[in-house]
Amino acid sequence: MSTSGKYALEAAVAEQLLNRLLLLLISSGKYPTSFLSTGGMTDETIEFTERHRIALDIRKIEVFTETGGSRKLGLHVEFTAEVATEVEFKEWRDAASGALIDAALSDRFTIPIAGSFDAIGELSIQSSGGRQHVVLGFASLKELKIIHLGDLIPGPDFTELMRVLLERIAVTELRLEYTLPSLPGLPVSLPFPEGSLLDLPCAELGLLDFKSCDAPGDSKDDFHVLMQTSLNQGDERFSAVSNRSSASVDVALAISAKFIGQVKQELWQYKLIPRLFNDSGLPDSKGVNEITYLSLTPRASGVIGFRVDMRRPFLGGHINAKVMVEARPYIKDGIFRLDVLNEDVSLGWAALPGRATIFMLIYQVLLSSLFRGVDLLIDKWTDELIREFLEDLSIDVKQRFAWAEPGMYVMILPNAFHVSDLELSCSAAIKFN
Amino acid sequence: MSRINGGYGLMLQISQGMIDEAMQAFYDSNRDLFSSSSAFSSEITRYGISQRYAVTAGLSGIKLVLGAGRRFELGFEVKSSCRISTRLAALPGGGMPPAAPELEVGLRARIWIGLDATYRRRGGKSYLSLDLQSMDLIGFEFSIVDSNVTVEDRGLAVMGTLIRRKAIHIIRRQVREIPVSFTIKESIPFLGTALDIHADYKIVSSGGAKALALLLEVDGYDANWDEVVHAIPVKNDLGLFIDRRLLSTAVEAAERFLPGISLKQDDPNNIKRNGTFIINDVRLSLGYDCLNVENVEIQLRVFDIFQKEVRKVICYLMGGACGIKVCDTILEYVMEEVLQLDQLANIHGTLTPRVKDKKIYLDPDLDADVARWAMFVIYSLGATILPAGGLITPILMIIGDVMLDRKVNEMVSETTIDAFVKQSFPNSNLSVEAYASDIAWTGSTMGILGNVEFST
Repeated sequence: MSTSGKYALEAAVAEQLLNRLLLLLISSGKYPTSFLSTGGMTDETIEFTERHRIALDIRKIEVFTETGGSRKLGLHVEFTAEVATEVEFKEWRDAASGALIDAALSDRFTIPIAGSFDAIGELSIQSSGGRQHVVLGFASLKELKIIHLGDLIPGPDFTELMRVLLERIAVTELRLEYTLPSLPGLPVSLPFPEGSLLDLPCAELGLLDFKSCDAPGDSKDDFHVLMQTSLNQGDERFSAVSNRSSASVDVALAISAKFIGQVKQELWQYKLIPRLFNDSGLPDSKGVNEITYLSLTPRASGVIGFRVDMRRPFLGGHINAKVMVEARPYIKDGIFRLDVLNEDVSLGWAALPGRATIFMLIYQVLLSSLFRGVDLLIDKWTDELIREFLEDLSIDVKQRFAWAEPGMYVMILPNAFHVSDLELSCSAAIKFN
Repeated sequence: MSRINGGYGLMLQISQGMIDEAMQAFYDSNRDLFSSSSAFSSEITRYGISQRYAVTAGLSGIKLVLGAGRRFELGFEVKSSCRISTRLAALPGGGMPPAAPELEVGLRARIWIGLDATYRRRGGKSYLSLDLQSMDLIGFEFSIVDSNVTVEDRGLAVMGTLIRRKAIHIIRRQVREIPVSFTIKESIPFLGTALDIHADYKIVSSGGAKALALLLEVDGYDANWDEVVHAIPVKNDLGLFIDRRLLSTAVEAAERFLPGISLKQDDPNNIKRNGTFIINDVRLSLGYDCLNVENVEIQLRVFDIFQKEVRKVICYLMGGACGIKVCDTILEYVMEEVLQLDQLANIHGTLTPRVKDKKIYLDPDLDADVARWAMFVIYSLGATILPAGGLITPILMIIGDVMLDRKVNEMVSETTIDAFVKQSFPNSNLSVEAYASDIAWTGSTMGILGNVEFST
């Protein structure tokens, strides 16, 4: 369990996921791994020609976070290269007499090189198609190391020259090639919203930040996009942001308790949460059960306390009822469930409308807001979804969206749900196809 | 009897030491020709990489070795460097690009080429020049002297070929030719008509000493190139060998200048006496090591000045028109030249060319059938006229135009020859003057052996 940085929304992506994404982009041909440059010269006065080529092949490429947590992200690359020079001295004869002046000579020299480099990228936020992405651009390499230089020992100056040339080729190709058409860099986050998290005044985006967290122990390094609303700006604690990833967690989405309260309040205020329900527990504009109050309170124990107050006409007046539920939410096999610890229904008729209202709190307030961390608009609630919830307090939360750039589908497979008094978070595995 | 000059009318032998001096002077005056630099640039625009490959080569330590026959061997020290400079342009938004090390390989080599020489003409003169276009490579060795790159064997072979070809390019295409002799005029004008002559050369040796022989063949002479041998002593820089036949011809031509020459002389012992002579006839011949004055016939006259008493009668009238005529006789003394001796005289003997204080002069040993008191009249004949006309003029007729830029077609007034060569080396600022140290006679030649003085 991590401590909360108190950002309205936090989307953490595991380093392992970024590496999987990178591998996918490379194997699909979106990023090249072989680079070749050639050159040469000719000196006709002595019948001499030289041609050379430098070929760089990337063998392994991985994202990494720096120790201590920072706003930087790096790329570790292992490569092989080949520097080849072909020289040719043509047979040199006197033009007038045809007499031989100097015999021909040709040879080819090849130096195989193996090495690695780390590139620390500059993070920036880019907008594309109404969404934002954090991208990694490269201006320099941390250091390119040549590990192996064939069987030759050409001297430190030669090795250094090769190192400088390969470093320049590598950083140029990272700058030029390791981008996507609409993104001037390598995407290192899932998409997130532009401008406002939700179509509500309280959700206007005020601050964007990012943090890479180096993982201790069994946790995995991950990269966090931190979104803070204008209303809550100042509450955030950057230093408290820490790892959320693990073996089964590719993405973790967290929403602050304060923000969820603000969302609930505005949704209720603007009547975006249904207020009238029928006796079956379904929203009905003609329903007799009117919701008068609702609340969702996350607790430090990992339990959410729900309270729904309602009334219905009775003998020319109204009769009030209350439903209070304490439940521990969990996700299993992509299904969100509530493990009810305590339930208090004051009047029997209030049970179904009460549960339906709890569904609205979970689905419309909590889950809709949570998935905005990856700029996902979940489908509007349906009666079918409500009936399923009324039956066994479950909601299928598996999501799938199209990621236009880089042109793939993303399957979000939630596998855990955590509650604290400061935040609620959902972890998920990711599949790309 | 073998002929050291092989029958060539004129042979000039030049020592290796003098050639070494000429080589160095040519090099010093034309240093720019002996070096070359080329540079090539290569850019990889995509990566902001630009590289410059610079190859420089310079030749020095020029050494010409006289081979054999017509063959020379020319050696140079070669110094070369190959440098690769790399520059990276700043990337947009990037910081200062890193400095890339320069790679440099410095090489040193020694190259030897074999080649012949050929006569070239310039400004009406000829000179022997090494024809660098026709060179053969006979030796090449090199080593890396300074490098920040370790080069293995195959790489060394490439570097060696590069420096060798650069050196050959400089030799063949930039230097192109090196003069190995000073200029000479292929011309021996005799009394207005020039002899037909053809130039050749041969490298001659004796023991460990070698010399370059410039050969001027006179038409009609049976020159034999194979007979030409080394003929200058070690102590001498050069030797000029005149074929006896050519010298005899010149002596015969010069004989004609002498008849008719007359000279008046005062007796140094008697101020009242003077004499004149006029040459009637001259017969000269070349002896083994001297000029034989077979006979010189002169008309000799000696005049003395005497005081003579002359009586003069002077008359004058006393008392006017009616006066009396009085006559006086007075004595006057006048000086008058009186011919004392008038005879035909004959002179014979020898004039031997010798060298003193670097000058060629003729040592006379002459007899004349003239009274001792009248010898003063013909003193200059033996001291100046016969030497000048008898041998100095014939020698200058032969070598004047060839070696001294001086066409002699009449009798000269000098009785000595100072420098017997005054020429310059083409394409350099070196001039040479040769002064005699010895005269050496052989069965076929009169040789003037000497040493040179260079000036720049």
